Amino acid sequence: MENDNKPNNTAAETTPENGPPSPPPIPEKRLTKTEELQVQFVAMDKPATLPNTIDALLKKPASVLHDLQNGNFGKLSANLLITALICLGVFGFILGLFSGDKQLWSAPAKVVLGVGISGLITLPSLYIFSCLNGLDVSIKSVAGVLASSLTLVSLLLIGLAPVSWIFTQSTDSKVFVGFLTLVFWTIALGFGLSLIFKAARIMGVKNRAHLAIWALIFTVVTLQMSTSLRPIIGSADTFLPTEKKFFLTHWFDEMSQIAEDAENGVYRR
Amino acid sequence: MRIADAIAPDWKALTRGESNRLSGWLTGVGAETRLLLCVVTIFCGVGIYGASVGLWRSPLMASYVGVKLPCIIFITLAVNGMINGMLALLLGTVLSFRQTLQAILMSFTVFALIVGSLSPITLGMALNLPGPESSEAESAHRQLLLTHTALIAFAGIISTQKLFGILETFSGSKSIALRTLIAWLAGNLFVGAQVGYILRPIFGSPALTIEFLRPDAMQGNFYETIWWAINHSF
Repeated sequence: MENDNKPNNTAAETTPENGPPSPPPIPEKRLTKTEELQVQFVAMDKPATLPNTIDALLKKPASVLHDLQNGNFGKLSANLLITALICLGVFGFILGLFSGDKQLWSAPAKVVLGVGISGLITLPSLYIFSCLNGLDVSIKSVAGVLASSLTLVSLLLIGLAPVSWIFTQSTDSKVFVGFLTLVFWTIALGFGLSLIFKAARIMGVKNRAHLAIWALIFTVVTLQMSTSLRPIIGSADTFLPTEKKFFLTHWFDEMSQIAEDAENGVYRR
Repeated sequence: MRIADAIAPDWKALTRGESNRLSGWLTGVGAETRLLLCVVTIFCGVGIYGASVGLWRSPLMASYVGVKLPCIIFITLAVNGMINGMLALLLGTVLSFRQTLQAILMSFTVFALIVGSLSPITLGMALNLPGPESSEAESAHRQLLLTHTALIAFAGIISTQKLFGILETFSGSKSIALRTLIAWLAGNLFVGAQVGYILRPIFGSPALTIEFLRPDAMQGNFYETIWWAINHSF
């Protein structure tokens, strides 16, 4: 009976049949994370159509960043913008289904507006913080990186939209849906921001402290935007709020109001 | 007999966790993917097991749970399909959307084979325990609940282990496989619990009426119920 599990001869072993010993194999040099990313920083292997852009953003985001910086900015940024608009709009619509009525159009509009305004008002600081990190970049290429990042966020949100839908249809709790959306936003934003950090690595940034600060600012801006454009979940008489609030204050107010209503047996949706 | 001869090696590959062969299913096309085999196995294996879960209440309940249990798996996969595919790509597993779906289906197939193989035992148990009309119904229901929870957890752990093997072979990296597996598991458990909640009753408390879906199926959610239970326990 033959044994399939024969042990392999090591390279340095010598037997009378195989002659002089062969030298031990040279260990392969493991690429660092930065080197790995730089290897992936090549042109997209397919034309920059909408499906190919989405595909590349998920599989090889470095190639999208490469093409954005090397001449295909217009077409690619249009693809990214369209994708982000559609995905955020659909995600907003799913959130709007929680309350229905005019929230069906105002929630998508607010989600798109919120992300768009957050991107626009943080773009100058991203550019400055990139320069502080010693990068020689143009505002156009920084805008491209930010657009890719936000599109990735919106793609992940659309991936999570069916889960959101299940919960918006099966619960009456505004706090629960709000918390769930916050968790989903955090997950998506985590991936989106990691793309910005990857781009920084590719461009040779070693100390990413400034970018980390920017990431924190961006996160706070998006959270505040959700409060400034409230309600995205739940309903109200006016499109925009009449009272200005910090997002943490708003969250605590909402939670205590709902606890109070529950105690008094009041049902609000 | 010919069908059994054709299927047996595939089932063996799944249960033995022959990662190289299973990776071949992922990269294959058409019949090579064994997609139909996985779907049918899940329907039959989990369906029979589900019937054994419901049989303690009544044959009608057995038929309901026999249909609902596989549905929980397929609805969860449908809801999470997109995000699972995206996470696989973003975490570096290089699995396409179709391959992601199939890898998870393969894992559920292993789950179905395990629970399906245990269903004769659980059927026997359902038939031998004091019935729902007896004075010991509550205690019998608790025993059933505990046994099925243990069996489902066991089958879940083993099938997850097999999925990890497939992912590791396919991605060539333990850390990537682990990250992807954790992300998928978290998502599937999170949604699966809610889908199960919507499709209740599954275990059929003896005090409640037998029905396919509760009239308030879409009212409330699993996590609110857990939160309520915690709040009212202390």
